[in-house]
Order: sequence, then structure tokens, then C-alpha cells
Amino acid sequence: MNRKWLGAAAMIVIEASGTKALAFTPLVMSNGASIRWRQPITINIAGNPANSNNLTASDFFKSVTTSLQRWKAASQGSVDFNYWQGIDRSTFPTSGGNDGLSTLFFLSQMTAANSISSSIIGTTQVWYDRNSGEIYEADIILNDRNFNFTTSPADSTEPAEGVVISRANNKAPVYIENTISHELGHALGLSHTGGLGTSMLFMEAPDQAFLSCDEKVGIQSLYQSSQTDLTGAFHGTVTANGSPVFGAHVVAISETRGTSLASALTDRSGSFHFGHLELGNYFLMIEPYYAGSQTLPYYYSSMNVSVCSGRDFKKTFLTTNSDQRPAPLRKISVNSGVDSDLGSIPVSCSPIPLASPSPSQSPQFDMSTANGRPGDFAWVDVFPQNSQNRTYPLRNVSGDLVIRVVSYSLYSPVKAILSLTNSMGNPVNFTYVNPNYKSSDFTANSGNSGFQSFDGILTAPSLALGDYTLSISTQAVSLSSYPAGYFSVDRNFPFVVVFGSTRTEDDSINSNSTLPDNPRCRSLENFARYQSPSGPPIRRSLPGGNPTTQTGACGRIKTSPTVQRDPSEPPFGAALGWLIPWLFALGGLRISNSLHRPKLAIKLKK
Amino acid sequence: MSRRPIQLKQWMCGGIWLGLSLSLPSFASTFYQQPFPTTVEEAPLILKGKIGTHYSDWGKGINSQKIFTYYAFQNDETLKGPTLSSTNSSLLVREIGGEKDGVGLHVEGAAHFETGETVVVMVNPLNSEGTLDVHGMMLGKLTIEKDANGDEILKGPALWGSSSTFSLNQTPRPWTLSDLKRLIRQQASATPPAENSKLSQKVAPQPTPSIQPSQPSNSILPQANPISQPPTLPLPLVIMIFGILGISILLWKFLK
Repeated sequence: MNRKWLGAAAMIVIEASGTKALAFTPLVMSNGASIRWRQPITINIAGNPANSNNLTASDFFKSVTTSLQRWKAASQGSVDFNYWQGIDRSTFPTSGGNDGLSTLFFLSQMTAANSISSSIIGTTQVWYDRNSGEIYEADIILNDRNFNFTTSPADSTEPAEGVVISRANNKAPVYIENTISHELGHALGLSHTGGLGTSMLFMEAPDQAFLSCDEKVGIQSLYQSSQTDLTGAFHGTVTANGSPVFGAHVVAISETRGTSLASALTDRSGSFHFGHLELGNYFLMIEPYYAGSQTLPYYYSSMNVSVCSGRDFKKTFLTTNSDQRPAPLRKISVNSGVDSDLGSIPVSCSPIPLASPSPSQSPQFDMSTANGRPGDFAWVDVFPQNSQNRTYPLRNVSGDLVIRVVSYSLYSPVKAILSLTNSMGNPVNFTYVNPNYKSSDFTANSGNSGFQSFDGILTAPSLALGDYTLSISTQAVSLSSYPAGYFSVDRNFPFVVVFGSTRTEDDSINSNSTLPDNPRCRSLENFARYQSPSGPPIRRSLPGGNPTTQTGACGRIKTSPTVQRDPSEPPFGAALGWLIPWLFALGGLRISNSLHRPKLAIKLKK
Repeated sequence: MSRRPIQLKQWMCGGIWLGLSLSLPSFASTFYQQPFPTTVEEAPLILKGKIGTHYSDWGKGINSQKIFTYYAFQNDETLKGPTLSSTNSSLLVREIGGEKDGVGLHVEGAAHFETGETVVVMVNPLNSEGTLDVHGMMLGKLTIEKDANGDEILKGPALWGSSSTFSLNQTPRPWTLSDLKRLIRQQASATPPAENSKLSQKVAPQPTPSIQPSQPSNSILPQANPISQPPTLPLPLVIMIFGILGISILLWKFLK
């Protein structure tokens, strides 16, 4: 009885903890409770480098350990690992079974049933204790049957624009660290995300090997790294018509970095929580999750897809005010150690498509300072027509003006070009940089994938007090530049997010900020060469106290969870079941012999 | 009984399992953009029907170390592949992942179904369990929704296509069930595929008029099809064959 009560209490705790949607998408059980490793986390992985791609064991070792080191660094020490590598299948199995040993191997070496679709590059099987949600094993399988894993960062199934790849044996080349980093994210308890340019995007993409801001925030939030003094948090609830919205994609756009820093999906109660965020200002944009519930754990299968009555939830985006164009974005200030409650955030579906406004209808933004603070604005606007030019009057601008535009990381297939004129319509002195990020900036240690962003930044210094006009023109971007091609973007309603501010000398968006214009939070990597620990890979004990019943072709057996058995080895009971028919056959033969060949029967008795 | 003979028999049994098992589960996590016609072409069976109740259990045979979720499936129409017999009108569709005996197996990207929903599902042929494995995980499931015109619109992650330079003024037409049937007919009537047949748009219908054919990204599509690859003889099966031969010889000598 006591155990039952304890179990019930544990389940209540799990259910309660599962109702919190975090600033990333965690792996969750069907009830919404998180699946995660028990801290302190040291993941033991046995890798088998045998493959059909001509990838050397040393290259594989380096790729795996570098990817593991990235996650370790991103977690700020919360996650550690041990890695062993070898080709002996008894020690480094390639079955992916439930045996307490986390493994990483290639599909061509798989000893269990091994057919996966040719559209699947890698997979991770995460084993967890149903009662506690604790992960105790993760098996990663890389599809070398249909893909050619390489060590070149430029190789991708969706290569960056201008990057030409060659393929061998009719297999698409893929930078192996793109896939390993992604799969390790699953192994650690992260689900797919909706942010383009993130490592946990469900589609393989250039630069995916290098963890983005979203993953860094996610892994720190999931395992609560100790360095919280430099971070802040906020939370709230998304509602539509007074009801919570389940599955709304909430994006926190960093004013400092000029791009989406983290994203979250609301849970069944419509709530979301962002933690471990860099300090500074953020803008909240709320949109549908384009990829749909199928890319997410089962828990999300009932997410609200009809919040926009009469329209497909997945093909519109939500704003806090549907009556205005452009729709203003809410500004959030993240302060050290503070978890701000944003309360209920009402959203509605934008009246899309919007009619092209006349110049007189263009919204005006007053940039005059109030209480000594610089004025600012942030909005999202739809550009339904190609190559459309729009103007936005900015009133009472003075000093330095910085305006950023975000499009690439937000499913919008347009490249925005910004320009600024004064009240007389004459251009003023400004610079516009687009894109503001290239992975080639980091070639020193990590190679160059060719990935580039189409986000941009306009800087106009020392403006005299007066009215100015911001012009935005859009150009269609080749969808091959997007990780998931045309699927990943909202083709019907491309939009841009624009935010700007006048700034003062001590403003955080000063160009001398220590934070770079870097949408992926990528940093130089100087990982030390990893050395595997001595001895064989360490297995975890299997969960639960009850034996598991397993059914084989030759019968059913019960296996104690604590028994460590080679998964490729059939159980003894099944082997006995196989043997019985032979014994019957032998017995029948002997009877037959005794009836028809008495001499032989006597001989046998002897 | 010594340890060694047991291992031999276990291997033999494993060989029998492997030889008899036709179960081919698909599981995934990282996907790449594959044209929908290719996904359809690779699917051995495509069925339309209604999802019933479901349960999770350990797999059988060589998959006894994995957990699957089994969905009752009322097959209303076989869109591709051999027509299932009347006794197969109610089938079990199997997908990796689930919870059983206090253990959970989560595979991101696995297809999940809701009781009562009508779907088009791509599956592999009946396995040794007599169930149907979803082909391509989440790519293997398409939901059906009727639009204002009464057309049956297909929806699902599989409806990804080739990249193209996008025109903001064009609105793609969604895939319909009729489009899918037409595509299947075209693929069935097409001549035997050439080297780059999967890259060709000849077999594709016109469901998304805004999508331009022959995109650069198509040139990297993989050609290998795991279903059509020549089978290799697994080691346990070889051991089993030799084991049976050995036992036969022993019996022969023993009885002689």
C-alpha cells in the first residue's frame, strides 16, 4: 500500500512538473512530463565506427567527441560524457536494443531489423523509466546506407547557396557532425524545434553541427546550470478568445543580437517559460508551429490547429493585435535573476491577406525619448506582393538610430532591404549590412559551411532631431537557402520583423557590445583532444523492479531488468522452444526405427 | 548441458527469427527534404482507412528489445500495392515507440495516430507478426481534410517538395487524394526507372503548380532504395543453415 501511495505521489509530481513549457521543446511523455537524465549527468556512449562511407575510425572519433564537447560546453558543465570506440560488436553493439548501454553506430552495421526510409539521415532511440521520466539509454543510428557522411562542413542535403557538392555512390553527402549534434540533442532530452538555423530543427541543414542560441538556452534550462546570475527569465500564457492556445510557437527575439534567441511551444494550459536568457531586451513574436505536431512528441498531437477559425492555423501567424498593420511586438526586459510574469497574452489571427496600404495609412512611430530613455519600436509586417516597397514614418528621431530586420530565422522567404530618408525625401548617411552573419567568420577552427543569414542591420549615426522615413523593400529568396526548402516557410504570407531604437552612449545595442551579431551564438572552439577512459563502456542498470515479458518467435520469456544480456543473442527460453521440435522429431525417428529396424533399436539401447 | 551448445542454438534460433522475420520498422529523427513523389514511389503499400484503438507492447522475434505501438486500422482502400484480402480489412499498423512494463521508448519523428482519424498511411508489407510497419515514420502518415469544394486535401510532413525560387504571387495548390491516386497510377504505368528516374518530374502530377521542376537540390537525392536493395544473407542465417546441416549429419551418423 505504501508503495502505491509513493507511486501516486511521484506521478503527481511528474504531472505537475510536466505542465511547464520551457524555452525550448523538451522530450516529453504522453502526459507532458519531461524525459531527462538524472543529474549529475555523465553519459556513457559506446561508438562503433564501422561504416560503408569510407569514414575512418579516427575521423569518426573526432566528430563524435567534438559534438559531445559542444553539448558539454553549451550546458556550462551540467552535462559530461564518457566515450569509448571500437569495432568489436560484443563490446560495441550495433543493435540498438534496450540493454542499458548507449550506443552510436551506422545503419549498415545494424544487427537488428534495419530498414529505414531513405529520407531519414539519423535517428535516436531514447529509453526512459516511465515512472520517473529518467533517461537511462540512448541509441543513435546514422543512415550510411542512403547518405555519405563526410567531414566537410559544406556538405549538406540542403547546401548553402552557391555551394556545390559532389556525391559518391549516389548518396547525398552530409557533414557527419550536423547529424551527430542533432541526435545528441535528442539523446539529452531535447525535441525538435521550430527555429530555422537551430541544430534541433528536424531537417538537416548547413551549420547544424554548431549549437545555436536555442540549444544553449535549452540545455541550460533543462539541466539548470549553476551560472544563473548572468541570465534572466520570463513566463506567460497565450490565449485566444479567452481560451489557452496549445502549441503556439513563442519566439524571443533578442534586441542585442538582432535575431531570435530562443523559442518555446505553449503547453495545454497555454503557458510558456523562458529561462537562462541573456540579459537585455527581447521582443515576443507568437506564431503557429509550421512543422506541425507530427515532428513533435505524441503529447503535442492534440495541439490546437484551428485557433484561427476558418483558416488553417499553420498558414497564418498570430499577433497580439489583429487590427493594426503592422502588428506591434511586445517588448520584454530580462533582468538578472528575475523571472517576470507576463500574464495572459491575447493573440488573434491576422486578417491576411492584408490590402496594400496607401501611404497615409502607414503607421507612424514616435521615437522621441521619454524620461531620458531612447525611443524604440518593434513590429511584424506582411509583404504579400513580391518586390514591394513600403514606407514607415519615424517621428522625432535624434541621435544614433539602429534598425534591425529579421527574416531568415522566422520562416519568411524574403530578403529585406532597408533605407532611410529625411523629411525632404533625401537619403541620409547610413550603413546597411546584409547579411550580418556568415559562418565563414569561424573558419579558423570549425570550417565553413557557407551558411549565411539574410537578417540585416541599418545604422544611422548622429541624426538631427526631425522626422525620417524608413523604407523596406523585399526580394524573394531562393528557397534552397532554407533548411527545409519551401516547406519551412510561409509562402503565402511572407513577413519581416523590424525593430529599432535610438541609442545613447551606454545603450546595450552599442556596436561595441561584447555580443556579436551572431544569430547562432556560435563561438570559436578550442576543444582539447579527447581521450577515452580505460576499461569497457559502462552500462546503466535497467529501470523497474518487475521483469519484462518478451515474446520471441519461439515463445515468451520473462527477463529481469537487472540482467545484462547481449541484445543480439536470442533468449535461452526461445532457444529451448526451437530445440523442442527437433527433440520430437528425434523421438519420432527413434520410435519409427524401433518399429521397423529392431537391430538399430537394440544398438541404440546399448 | 554446456554453455557452448546453448549459444549455438541461440544463434540458430536467431537465424530462424531473422530468416522468417519480414518486419522492417522505420524510425527516424533527422529528415531531409525529399519530393513527395519519391516518398510515394518508395512506399511498398499505401492504404486509406480509419484508425481504431491502440496499445503498446514489446516487439516479437528480432525486435523483442524494442517497444512498438500498435494501431487497429480499418482498411477502406488500397491505393498502392497488392490488394489485401478481405480478412485483412482490419489490420494492425505498427510504429516504433511506446511505453510498456514501466519502460518507455521515444523516437522523435515517429508517426502517431489518433483514434477515429481517417488517414492515408504508407506501410511496408505484412511482417512476420502480421502487422504493417509505417514506412518512413512521420512521412508515412497523411491526414485527409475536406475543403470548401469537397476535395479531400492531404496534409502531413511528407508533402515536402523540391526547392524552387519562390514567387510571392503564386499560391500552390494543395495535394488532394485524387492527385495522389493519379501519381500512383502514373508511377505504376511508367517504364522501368532509369538511373535518375527519381529525379525526374515525369511521374509527378501538377499538385503544386508554383514549384519548378529540375531543381539543383534534386541532383543530390539519394538513389538507393532500402526496399529494393539486393538482400544479403545475414550471419545468423548462415549459422542456422550450417547448424541444420550439422545436426542432420549427426543424426544420420547417429542413427546409421
